[in-house]
Amino acid sequence: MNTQPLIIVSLGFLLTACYEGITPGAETDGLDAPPSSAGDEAGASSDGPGEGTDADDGGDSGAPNPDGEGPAELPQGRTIRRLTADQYVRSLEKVTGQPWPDYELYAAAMGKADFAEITEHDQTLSVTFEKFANDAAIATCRDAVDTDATEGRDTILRFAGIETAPDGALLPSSEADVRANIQYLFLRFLADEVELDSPLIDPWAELVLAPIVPSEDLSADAIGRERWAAVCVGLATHVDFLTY
Amino acid sequence: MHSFLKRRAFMMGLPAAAAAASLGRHISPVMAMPGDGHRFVSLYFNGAWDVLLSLDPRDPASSPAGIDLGTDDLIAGYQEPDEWTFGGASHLIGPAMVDLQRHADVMTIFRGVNMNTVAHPTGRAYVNTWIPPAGVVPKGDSLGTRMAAGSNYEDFLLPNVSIGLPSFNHAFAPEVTGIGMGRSTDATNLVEPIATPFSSDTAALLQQAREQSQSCIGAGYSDHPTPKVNIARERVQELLGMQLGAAFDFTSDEDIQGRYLINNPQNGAEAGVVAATIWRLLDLGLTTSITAQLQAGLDTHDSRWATNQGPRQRTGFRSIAALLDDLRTTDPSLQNTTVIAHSEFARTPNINGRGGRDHWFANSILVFGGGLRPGVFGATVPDTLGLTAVNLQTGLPDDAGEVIRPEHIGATLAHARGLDYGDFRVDPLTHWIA
Repeated sequence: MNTQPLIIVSLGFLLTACYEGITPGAETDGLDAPPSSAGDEAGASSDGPGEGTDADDGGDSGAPNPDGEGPAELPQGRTIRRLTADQYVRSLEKVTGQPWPDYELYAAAMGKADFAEITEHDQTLSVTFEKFANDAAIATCRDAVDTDATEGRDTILRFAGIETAPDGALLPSSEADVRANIQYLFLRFLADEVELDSPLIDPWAELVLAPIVPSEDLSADAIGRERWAAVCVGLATHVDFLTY
Repeated sequence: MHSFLKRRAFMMGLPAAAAAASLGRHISPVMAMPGDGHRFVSLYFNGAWDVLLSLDPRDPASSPAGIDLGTDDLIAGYQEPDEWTFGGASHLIGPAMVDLQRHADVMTIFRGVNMNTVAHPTGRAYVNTWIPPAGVVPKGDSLGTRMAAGSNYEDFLLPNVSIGLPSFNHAFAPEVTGIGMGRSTDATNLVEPIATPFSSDTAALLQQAREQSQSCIGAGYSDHPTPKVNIARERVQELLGMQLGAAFDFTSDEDIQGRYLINNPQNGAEAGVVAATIWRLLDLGLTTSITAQLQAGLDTHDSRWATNQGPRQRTGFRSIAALLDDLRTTDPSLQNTTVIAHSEFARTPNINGRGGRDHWFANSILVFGGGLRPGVFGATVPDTLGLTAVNLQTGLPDDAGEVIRPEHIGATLAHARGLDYGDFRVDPLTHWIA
């Protein structure tokens, strides 16, 4: 329990919460904002590609510009990358507290390089990665919720629980508890501090609070667990979790 | 927004197709050919093949001065080439290719292709893109990606599949980026859940929450990942909804085991399993372009050359023959199909001190269909297996001609499909296009 704040802070650095891209005046990961580029209409219009303005060149210091005339098309800044397969599975284990034992079976399909035939980790947001990342998330999230429910841990279910009445009926958590728990999960999974009344929480709260209709195959308790596991899966496969 | 409307219409019949496949029956041609999609298959023989046993053999009776054929060391059945007639002429073909003779009418062999390398990673990069690599770093796009981009790829859930090989996409739409599988048996795991899925109600609620949830990634990024994730997620949902798992499980499919001579259906590296998986992916209309490692274990620097090189090549070619049998049921002359088989380079004409052959840059490439004329284009020096210039119109040796390079083949296949070939920076061999 005492390590949770440290883990969350660490994840904050790993997952780098919200990032805004390169826009005028925006944070650029400590780098100076790039000069106007060919993709930036204002900067490109006067000189055309390949010829920099004084501002492009960073002023005339008298020193030779290592880039010569200046690049024709500057990149917009850092690009968004998907976690590698290893990074994803380690992150998943960190946030759910559960390992995914099948990982080695599917690591290659998720893009892990074998350094024999394939020497680069695939970091594309591909169908295969999406498929197996979803499988991994379902397996670990189910385990995490089950462990919370049966062993009294609070990895996923910290401010809301799954309690049943003696007759097996699910005792619903209050909406406030559900939102508080999702707020906590946003911080845990996405390193994103959101307000309790943030609309970002709404879709996930609706998922949990939707009416529960038990069936012969699925008890109210099982449905309750599934709902929270689904929230866990949703956040563990959220684009903000998958990319940095 | 990505549109799957056409594909959805086609896919409505897929569960039935999967059921048919599970029963070992052929799937109807109507289902097998959605739209007007051209099928592209690229098959890689890993380790560098010995073309003297297959694509560019010599007659032992000719006793070539600069070539040690090692005939006496070879196991029975791999000592003598055979004479085949195709493309209007007779050609010597090595014993490892015997099973392909029934497909010689649609076969084109390019001989004397200068790989300009004897380093495996460089050669692998070269035959992936067919553009000269920068050292070991591939340049440009995978040929499979290029072919998928030139197809009606919106009709396919998995437009471009790559099995056991990297796939590159720098210039084309993200939808045609190669969908990687480590092994062919991953196809089963791709089309069915491996974790206990959520109940339908919970799954629907999760999908709804995902659709309503927002990303905090700023709009300033030109490569915002959300559209790519949404495309991938939609495709996965459709794949899982089709319940195709049985179609890729060959353990109880005696028909496909027999036709593809599969020993172990669960061995995703076995050539027969790879070829059968390719056929299923194409036959079910899931993909239009597949690149795969078909065979491995060919890097025979020692005496295993005599025992392994021939049989392993033959296993690979036999799988190609079975695949062609199936492909030609719906496209007999392969007018809408291209199958290319290649290795990173060839093996030396002389046998080394360990009884094996080392790396040799004069390679041969095998193509079926693809809009090419059947026959043999190019040549190597008869006595040395060395490179020689050929007339780019006739394909015959000509001192005033040019040595063929892989980019000639890439450009020719692209041009034959009506695709731009500028990236290859050579002119296609237009006289070899039918």
